[in-house]
Amino acid sequence: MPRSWVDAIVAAGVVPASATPEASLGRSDIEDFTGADPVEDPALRVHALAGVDPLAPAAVAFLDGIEEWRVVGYAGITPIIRAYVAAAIRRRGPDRRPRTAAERTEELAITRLDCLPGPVRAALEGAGTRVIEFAADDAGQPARALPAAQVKVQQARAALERRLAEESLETLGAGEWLVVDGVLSDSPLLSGHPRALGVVKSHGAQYFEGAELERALTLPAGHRTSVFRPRPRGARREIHSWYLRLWPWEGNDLLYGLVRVEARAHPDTVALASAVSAWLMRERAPLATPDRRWDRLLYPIHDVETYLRARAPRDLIPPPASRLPRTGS
Amino acid sequence: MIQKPDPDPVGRVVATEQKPATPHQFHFWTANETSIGIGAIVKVEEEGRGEKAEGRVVYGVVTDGFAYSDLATPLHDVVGAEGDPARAAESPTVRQEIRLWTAAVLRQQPEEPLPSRPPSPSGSTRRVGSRRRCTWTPTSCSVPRRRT
Repeated sequence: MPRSWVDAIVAAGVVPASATPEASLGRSDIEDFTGADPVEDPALRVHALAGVDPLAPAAVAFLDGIEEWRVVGYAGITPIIRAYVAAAIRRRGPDRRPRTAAERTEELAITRLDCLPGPVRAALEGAGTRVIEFAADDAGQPARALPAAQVKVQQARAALERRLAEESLETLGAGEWLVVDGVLSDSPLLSGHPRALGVVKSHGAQYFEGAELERALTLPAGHRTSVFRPRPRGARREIHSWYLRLWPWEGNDLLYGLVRVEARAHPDTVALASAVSAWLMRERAPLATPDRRWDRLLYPIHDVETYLRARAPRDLIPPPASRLPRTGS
Repeated sequence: MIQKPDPDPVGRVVATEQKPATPHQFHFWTANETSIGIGAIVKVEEEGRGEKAEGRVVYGVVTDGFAYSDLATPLHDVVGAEGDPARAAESPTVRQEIRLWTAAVLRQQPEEPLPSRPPSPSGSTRRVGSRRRCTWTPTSCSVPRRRT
């Protein structure tokens, strides 16, 4: 989408800005689940994957999304953020090369409308861009407004990913799996599909305490935990989950190489947990470097991100130039 | 032997800070499976910009080719294969690869002025032949036909 709405709000009196956020972090809006119920074993155990035959799907599709945003202006002290979210599915065929199967993009404006002067609000609303508002309580200092805006961007990205994933389930081939970067429990369709997997890289939610928590977080490489059922809150759907360690963590942090896998709440999930885990162990190669999360990031997911970033608007990428004030010369 | 130009573009001109386009050479990428090779004659067509700007056609001969993937360092390939070269071939996904070619400019039309070769998206590359064969038809340009 062209920047015409940005030009419109500048013409209406917004002060132009070029501040850009830091590199994307994990989602900051996920509710913290508390506790989990055992499914496979009475207590959380460690299962070795040595000698397990990996699942070998005929075709696999990988889904991921990106978000880019920057502050494009201030109306008084109220920031106006331009955000771009995108999601894609890349399908890997027999030649082992991923190809794009589906893609969605959306551009958004994020601000607090009732804090904007009339002409600015009119210019923004008349531009036809979808506007998302952050809470009134966050509309003061930028230290509150910008993190609140970031949460809105992340929510918009997650919603776009969810819509794309749910649409893709209808076209999923027989025997084809869909691997999603993130949780399944946001979506009733995904959380109930027999061949949908969620691979979660961030570990903000805590499901265990004491010895079980230690067993989960000190999991050796090439091992998985027992399958458990995270206790859902709110609208979260019931799923089965387990931890899987992709790389040895000793010498690094506890979360190095640790992913949490989500699949539908069904006895077949327990039966397939080791085979699925052995399959995901194979997906460690090739390494997803130079991404800093390579120890937990599957290369095909990294491939989707690379594809989306190559197609993102270039003016949202942080400029390499200095932020020194321009002189008259 | 007259070889007719390919109807569809075979490549796309690119220019970066490390590999800029100059009045004497430019770079383009092709699909991994391509008929382009050293010695191929290529034609770059660019539409004019602005109200009175004319389009530009550049002819070049491919002088070099590069192939690389998104592998950051060879050590990462070793780590991914856990030190076993045979296992590297078993990875479920093939890395993204590029075929990047360098072409020396033979002729530009119009000939004056002589700017550097601008990058894509307007610069699509078509193969028009090889150095060892007759490469142009009289209707496409005024370069004399070469004898085989």
